[in-house]
Amino acid sequence: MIKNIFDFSLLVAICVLSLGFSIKGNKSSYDFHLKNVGGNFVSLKDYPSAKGFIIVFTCNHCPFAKLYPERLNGLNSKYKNLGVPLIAICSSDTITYAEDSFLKMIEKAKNENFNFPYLCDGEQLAAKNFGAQKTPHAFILWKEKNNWTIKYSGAIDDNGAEPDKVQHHYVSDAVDELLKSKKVSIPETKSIGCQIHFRK
Amino acid sequence: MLKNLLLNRNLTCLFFILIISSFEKIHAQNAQVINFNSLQKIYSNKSDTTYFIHFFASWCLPCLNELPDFVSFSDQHKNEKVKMIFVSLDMKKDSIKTLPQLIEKFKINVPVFLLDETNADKWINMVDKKWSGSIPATLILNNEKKYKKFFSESMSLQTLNKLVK
Repeated sequence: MIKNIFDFSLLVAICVLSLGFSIKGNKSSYDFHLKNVGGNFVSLKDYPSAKGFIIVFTCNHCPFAKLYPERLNGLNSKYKNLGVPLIAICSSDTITYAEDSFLKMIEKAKNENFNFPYLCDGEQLAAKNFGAQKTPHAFILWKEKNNWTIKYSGAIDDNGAEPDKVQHHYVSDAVDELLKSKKVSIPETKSIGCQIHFRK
Repeated sequence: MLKNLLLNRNLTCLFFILIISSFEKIHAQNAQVINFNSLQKIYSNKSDTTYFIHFFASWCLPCLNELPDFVSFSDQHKNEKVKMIFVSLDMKKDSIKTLPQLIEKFKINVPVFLLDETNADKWINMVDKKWSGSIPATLILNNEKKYKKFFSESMSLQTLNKLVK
């Protein structure tokens, strides 16, 4: 009997330990399950034929994010059909920024005619998982051996305020390279943006 | 007589308009447009002055929260070899309105520069390689003492005072 209890607690301990490890292991997975402005939930696995994704952490309130809706629509129309859809995620702390509430997100997506999902990351887990620090912050995920790998992190392009003066279209250049099975020549850029305030 | 009165009235109006516009000019001059190279030259000066280069923007809520502390700090140390420089990362078109208001509201009486750069990827690394570009951020330098520290976070008056000791 005592031996059985011992065996049982050993089993429990092993289970707990392995659970701990599996949570750790999941960190390398970039998938999420977040509510879209349309009311549906969206995950990466909803796109079985996608070669990659353009994931953009953005929000309503940030003046820099406000410069990009049209360019995000453009990126999605261009790359969705090539197997690289764009997904926008708002991970803003809605207690600090009421303008980023889910209702306001719905309004924003409607007013700006978003042609891509705009997801609410209320728990801020997706932002933490990607390491998103500010808005807008773009990532390119690419499928390699059935795993998602980050191939680019940074700005969408090199001129927020004046779209007609953009010299480097970082995101679209990187996607073009990946579609041609080339190495991304600029895998990381830095930009000014609104810091994502993580609730403690 | 009536003509003279009207002329006088017009002149008075003109006088007031001139006064008002000159006030606006004084405020507008408070934020000086600068590019990164020129900014770097200012703080690369080899003297025993400790420079606090504070990057902020009027749209950045955490920046506004800590701005009073930075202003108090610079006031407290104005007679020492401490030089505070505010660098606004506001967008040019918004800043014409927002910066003068902000300078007045927070009673900033040290230089405020508006950074005239569009591609942050070019200059962020020159400030500090670890900086992602999120603000508030503060670079602290004393070139003679070869001291350099960078903070990409909010700072309080207490922290700032500790650093100057």
